[in-house]
Amino acid sequence: MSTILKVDDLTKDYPVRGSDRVVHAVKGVSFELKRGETLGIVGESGCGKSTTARMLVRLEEATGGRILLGDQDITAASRRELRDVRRRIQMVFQDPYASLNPRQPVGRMLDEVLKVHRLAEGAQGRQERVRELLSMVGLPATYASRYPHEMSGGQRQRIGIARALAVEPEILILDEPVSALDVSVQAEVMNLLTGLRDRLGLSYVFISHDLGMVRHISDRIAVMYLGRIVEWGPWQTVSDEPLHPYTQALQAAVPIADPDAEAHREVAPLRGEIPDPANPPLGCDFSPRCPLVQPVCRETEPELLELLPRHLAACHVAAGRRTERVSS
Amino acid sequence: MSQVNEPVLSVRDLRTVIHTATGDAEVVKGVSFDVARGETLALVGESGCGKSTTVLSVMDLHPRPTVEITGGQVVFEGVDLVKATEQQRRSVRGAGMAMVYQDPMTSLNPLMRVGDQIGEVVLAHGGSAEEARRRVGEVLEQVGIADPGRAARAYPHEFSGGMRQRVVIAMALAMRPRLLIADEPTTALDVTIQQQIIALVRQLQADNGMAVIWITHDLGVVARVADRIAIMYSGHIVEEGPSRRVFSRPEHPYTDGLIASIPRPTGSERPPLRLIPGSPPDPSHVFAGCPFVPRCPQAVDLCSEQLPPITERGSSSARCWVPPEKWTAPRSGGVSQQVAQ
Repeated sequence: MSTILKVDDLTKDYPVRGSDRVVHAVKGVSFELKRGETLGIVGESGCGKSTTARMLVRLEEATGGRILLGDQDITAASRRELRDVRRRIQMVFQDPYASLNPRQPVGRMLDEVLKVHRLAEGAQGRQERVRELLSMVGLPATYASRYPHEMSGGQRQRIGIARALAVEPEILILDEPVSALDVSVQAEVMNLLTGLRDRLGLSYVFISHDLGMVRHISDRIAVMYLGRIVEWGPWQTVSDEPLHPYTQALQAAVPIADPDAEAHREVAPLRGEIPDPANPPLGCDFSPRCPLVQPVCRETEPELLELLPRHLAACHVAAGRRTERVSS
Repeated sequence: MSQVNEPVLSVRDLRTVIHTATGDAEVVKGVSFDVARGETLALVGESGCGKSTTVLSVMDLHPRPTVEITGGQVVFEGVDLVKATEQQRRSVRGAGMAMVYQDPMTSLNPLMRVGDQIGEVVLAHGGSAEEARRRVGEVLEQVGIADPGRAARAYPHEFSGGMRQRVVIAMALAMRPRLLIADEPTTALDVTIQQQIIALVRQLQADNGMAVIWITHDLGVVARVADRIAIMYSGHIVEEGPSRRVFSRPEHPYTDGLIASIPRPTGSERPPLRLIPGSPPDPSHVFAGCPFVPRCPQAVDLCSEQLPPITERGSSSARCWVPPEKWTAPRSGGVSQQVAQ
C-alpha cells in the first residue's frame, strides 16, 4: 500500500495569555497513512488529538513540522493550493448540528459545495449529484428539502458525511464522529463509515476518546498522551496487548458491557490526573501516574521505538523489557 | 452486592407530565421500581427516554409548575413523598437521599468556597456551625481529596473536572444519605477519571450500605456498577432484572438491540455492528401500542394496537408481547455469546 499522507514532527504551541509561557499542545507527532487505511487516534482530553486533526485540514496552523499529501506540504500551501488540498482531504466533526447552516435546506447546502468546486455540470447535474450523495449516506432524495433541525442526530451526521464526500476526497478526518450520538444510532453511523471506506477506497484518520470504537474501525491505532504519540501499531495488539503502561491503564479503565467479564477485571484505577500541559513533568509525561515508573523516567523523555514488528512505544520500561528478552 | 431486605425506595406507577405551550406530554408513563439498601440500580436509556425526569420526580426537584407528578407513589423509608407535606419532603431531600449531576457546576456555586457550600447543607438541615465544619473535613477526606483543609478554602474553578465531581459527591454525602442518585456522573469525565469515580462510589457503598441509582446510557458502565438494571424507553421501564441476567438473556428486543450494537471488546473478528433502525422517539409522542414498534425487528400486529403489560420472566420482567423464544429476527443472544463468537 502506498503512503497517501505523511505527518512529520508536527508541533503546535499556544502562548499562555498574560505570560511568556507556552503550552505545547502537540509535541512532535509523526505518522503515515496508507491508501485505504484507517488510522485510529485515541486519547483523553488535552492529549492533542483534535488539535492534530485540525492541523491536518489547516483549520489550525502548525507551529512546526510538515504534513505531506503526496509531495505537497499542507502546512506551506497557499490559499489557492489549499483549495485543492481540501478537495482531497475533508473533515467530519463531532457535532453535526454546529457544523451545518440551520437556515439552509441540506440539499441547497450540498448544491453550493458542488457549485463552489465546479463539480457537476449545470443545475440539473448538481441536483443529480445531490441525490446521489444522499443515497450514498443512506438518505432518501426527499431529504434534500429538509432543514438540519428537522432531522435526528444520526441523520444530521449522515449529512455531515455527505458534505465531506461531495468534493470526492481521498481522505476523511473524522473527529469524534459518533460521540454525540445515542448508543443505538452510533452503530449505524459506524457501519456507514466502514461501508463507504471499503466502497470508495477512502482513507480515514478516526479520532476518538472511545477505545472500543477506535478498535472496531482502525487498521492501526495511535495512542496520544499530553501532545505525543506514546504507542502506535496494529489495531489488535495495541488494543488487546498494549506495550505502554498508559495504553494498558486506558484499556483497563474502559468498562466492558459484560458483567461477568467486569467481575474478573478488578484493576486499581490509574492515580492522579493528566498534568497541566503548560507545566509538564520532567522526563516522561506519564511518569507521575505510571505504576511502573523508574528513576530514569523522571529524567529522560523516552523515544518512540519499534519494540515489536511495526509496533512502537515510547516507554523506558517497555523498551527495557524487550532488551531483556532479546539478550536472554 | 444486593441483600434481600426492605427497599429504601419503592416507586409505584409514577407518572410525570410536562406542560408545554402546545399541550401536555406525559414523559414518565407509570414507572415502578425498588432499590434496596447497599444495592446499585442502573437506570439505562437514551436521550428523551424519561430517565432524568423520573429521578427528578423522585427527588422532588422537578421544575414546577412546568413539570408535574400526576400519579403514583414514591415511598422512601416507608413514607410516600408524593402525599407528604413540603416539610417532610424537605427533610428527606439532601439528607435521606442526595443527587449528583453530570456537570458538577450544576450543583456548585462558582462564587462560594467549597467548604462553605458543603457546610451549608449541614446548616440547612439544622446542624450547628461546629458540626458543619467537622463534617466538611470528614466528607472531603472520604472522597479522597488529599488536603481537605486546603480544598475547603478553594473555589470550584480551582479544581479539575474529576476533582469537582469528588467535591459534589462530598456535598451529597454531607447528611449521610441512604440513597444516592447519580445522573450520568461520569459522562463528562475522561475514562481513567471515570474509573476513579466508580471505585469511589463503590467504596462508599461498601462502607456505609448506601443505595445508589446510577443513570447512564453506557452499557459498559452499567456492567461495572449495577446489581440490577432497569431499561427505559419512551417513558416506560421496558425491562428490569439482575444485571447478569439482563446482559446474558435480554427479554426485550430493545435491550437485545442495545447490547448487539456495541463493538466487541476482544477477538480478531469485527463484523458490522447490529443496529436498531431509526432513532428514539420524541418524548411527547403518543403511541397506541408499544412505543418501540417502529424500530422493533420482532414486532407482531398486536404490538401496534395495545401497550404490552409487564410480564415476569424468571428473575427479569419485560414490557413486551413477544417472548424471546418467539422472536423471528436474529438476536444478539446476550453479551457472553457475542463475546465468545
